[in-house]
Amino acid sequence: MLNARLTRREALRWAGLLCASSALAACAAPAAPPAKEQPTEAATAAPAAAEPTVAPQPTQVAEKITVVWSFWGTSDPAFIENQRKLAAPFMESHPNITVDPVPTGQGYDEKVLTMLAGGSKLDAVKVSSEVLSNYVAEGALLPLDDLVNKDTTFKLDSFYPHTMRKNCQIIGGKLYGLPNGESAHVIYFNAKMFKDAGLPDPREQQEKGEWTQDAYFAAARALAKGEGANKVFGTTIHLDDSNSVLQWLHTNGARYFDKDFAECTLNRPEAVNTIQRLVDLVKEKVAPTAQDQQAIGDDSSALAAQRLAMEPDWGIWETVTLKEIKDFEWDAVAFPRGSVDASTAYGPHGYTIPVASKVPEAAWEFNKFITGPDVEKSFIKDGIFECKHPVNEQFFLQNAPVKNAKVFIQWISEGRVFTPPYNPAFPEMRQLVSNALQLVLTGEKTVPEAMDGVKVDMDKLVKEVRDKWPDAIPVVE
Amino acid sequence: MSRRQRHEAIEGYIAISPWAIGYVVFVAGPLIASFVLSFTEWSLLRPPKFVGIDTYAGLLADSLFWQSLKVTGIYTLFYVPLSITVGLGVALLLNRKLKGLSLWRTMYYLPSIVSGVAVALLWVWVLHPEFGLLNMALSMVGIHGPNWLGSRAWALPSLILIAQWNVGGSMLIYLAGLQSVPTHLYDAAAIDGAGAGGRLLYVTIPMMTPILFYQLVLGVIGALQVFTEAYVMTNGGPANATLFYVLYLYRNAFMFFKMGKASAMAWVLAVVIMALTAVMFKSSDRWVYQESGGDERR
Repeated sequence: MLNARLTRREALRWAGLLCASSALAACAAPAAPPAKEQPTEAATAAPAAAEPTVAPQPTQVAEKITVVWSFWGTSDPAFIENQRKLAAPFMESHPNITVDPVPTGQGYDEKVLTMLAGGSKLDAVKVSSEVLSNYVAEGALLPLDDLVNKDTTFKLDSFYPHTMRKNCQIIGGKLYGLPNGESAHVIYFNAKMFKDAGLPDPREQQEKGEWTQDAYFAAARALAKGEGANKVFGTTIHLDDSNSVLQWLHTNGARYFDKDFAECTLNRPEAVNTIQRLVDLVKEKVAPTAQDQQAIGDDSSALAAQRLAMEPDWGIWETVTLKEIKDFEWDAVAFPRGSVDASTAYGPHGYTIPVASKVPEAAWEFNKFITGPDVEKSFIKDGIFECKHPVNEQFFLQNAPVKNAKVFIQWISEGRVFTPPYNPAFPEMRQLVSNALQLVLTGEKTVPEAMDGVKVDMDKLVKEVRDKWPDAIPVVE
Repeated sequence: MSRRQRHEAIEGYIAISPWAIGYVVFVAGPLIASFVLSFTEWSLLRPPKFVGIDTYAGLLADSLFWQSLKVTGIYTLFYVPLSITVGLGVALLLNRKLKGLSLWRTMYYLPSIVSGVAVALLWVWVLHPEFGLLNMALSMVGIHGPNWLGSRAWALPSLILIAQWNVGGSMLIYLAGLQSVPTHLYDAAAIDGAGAGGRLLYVTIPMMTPILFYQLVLGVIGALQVFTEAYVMTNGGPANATLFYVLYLYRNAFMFFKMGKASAMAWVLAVVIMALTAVMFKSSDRWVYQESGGDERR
């Protein structure tokens, strides 16, 4: 028979056991979350980013499905809620599908990579153009061709044809992502500074066919002025980030690699001369060094603060900051013509479906929606995206928060674009080139020496790509 | 073992089981997994491919591996002694009867609780070659300051100096140690004719050696794992001058999709840390004061 009286020692022992079992319970796998009902808020309070969109027609699938959706941004609950509202019209039209946004916050690529490796559920995944080929090379993404072919409601030509880029959406002849984000790379400029300095307006120069890189560099030199905390830079040249030199190289006939992707060609005269001109701008203090840049802030902030006259090689998303400028006139103009070409780097990111997704059809439906023309309108109004659908062209021209909106789509619609040679070793290659350029800036090597040096390491990586990932060899445009 | 003792033992094991299970699942498991993975080529997205010691051999042939080891080694070599000296020095100063002592202590401690990223960005401003505070101050005495973070020669020394900003945490520990030194030892030293320097050398420092040892071990381990400052302020540049070991490990793991190599790097670092810690513990017999026990032969 149990003794009904507990000693203090026994009471403490039982209390300890109780605590331990509670902690164990907490460590155990959580119980399955309750089945999600339709979002109660529906689209009643659409966020700024979520302009009410036309809901697609409901589909007739009864099974309850959750599509886990990842995208970059912040893990701020308000931002996630905005994204949830963005997806609300889709859930209305697909009552059986719940879209679950993943709050990834900073370090998006690392988190997606870890989630995929760890077997976490991910269904509709935005993947950066720079690493998309890594995912494809490692067999992590589903080719979309079958889904496209089966889908009678979807037409790839609802996008501008040149938005489907090799090395990004299309790798090894297969489609892996629906294009999203990115835009033509343009020049933003402070029109007042040009006027005050008596320089011709870049837009007028472009109309006259005089907007060349020589004209650009001359304007940058003329607009750079002041010293110390009052220094105004004529332009930025991000030599610590090799991606920013791509456009300058391409328009002057230089490439990272030869046409066959057999060797690095950065040590050829056209590349060396182009890089030398950029380095000169930094050395002359016309463009900020990396330290100057940290002090004046990012390009759009520096332009808004009138510490920078022109910011080159940026996309439409810069208008999110620039549209707040009230004190002076600013605008955008096309990237200046180089010695060989006038074109823009363009590598849209992709909405993809992981191979491991258990609901690829539902993810496909959602990817169509999120990259579709209706959702695009809300991003256009906020200045985050340009239009990728010809059907939105007029809407974009009327609503984009920049005067010269045409510049963001003209070259894309005309096909005057090239895609960087993204490949599975590109992140490492990018680092190599950045290091070589830094050696030039610190004065330890001349441009030819640095480019000869980088070629040796780049060629090793070229060989690695050719040997390990023959299906992901990039097209060198 | 009696039935009661067995009962108590079982209950004890149940009580510690949340921690033990957590350790096995979240620490020991990943440790073993990373060791196995260090012998593989693994992009995270495909199953790992066993390559034996090729990953380790590859490290030996990788110039950036050696560069990151060199950078981290130099940083540790200078940062640790400097931080111990500065921390102890500040603690000695703040162990005196000063006016506004609490305020001084708070002021010195405060920086160590500010976010590392915020501090890093602050220092970018201070060290700016043209309009940074440091070079402005130097120019007042006729010195043309260098491009601290932009030159290969000065970037690493700059990071070593900046790290002293966080000396407040160790200062607090030194301060606690200083206040536990028995006053009768100082009295005895004074009677023996020891001045301030003598008291410091023959009383304070010997009595502080357990704390100095503790700080040395933690300092070395921490210095070998530096990441944030280099990631935020220099991103390993200029031209790999501040390519710290863990930064390079991170790049391999998450930017270059080379998790096998990153795992091998992690194990090399673990071995280096274990070896250095063992050397420090071994040497502690010779210089760390043990209040009780210790080697009776000395």
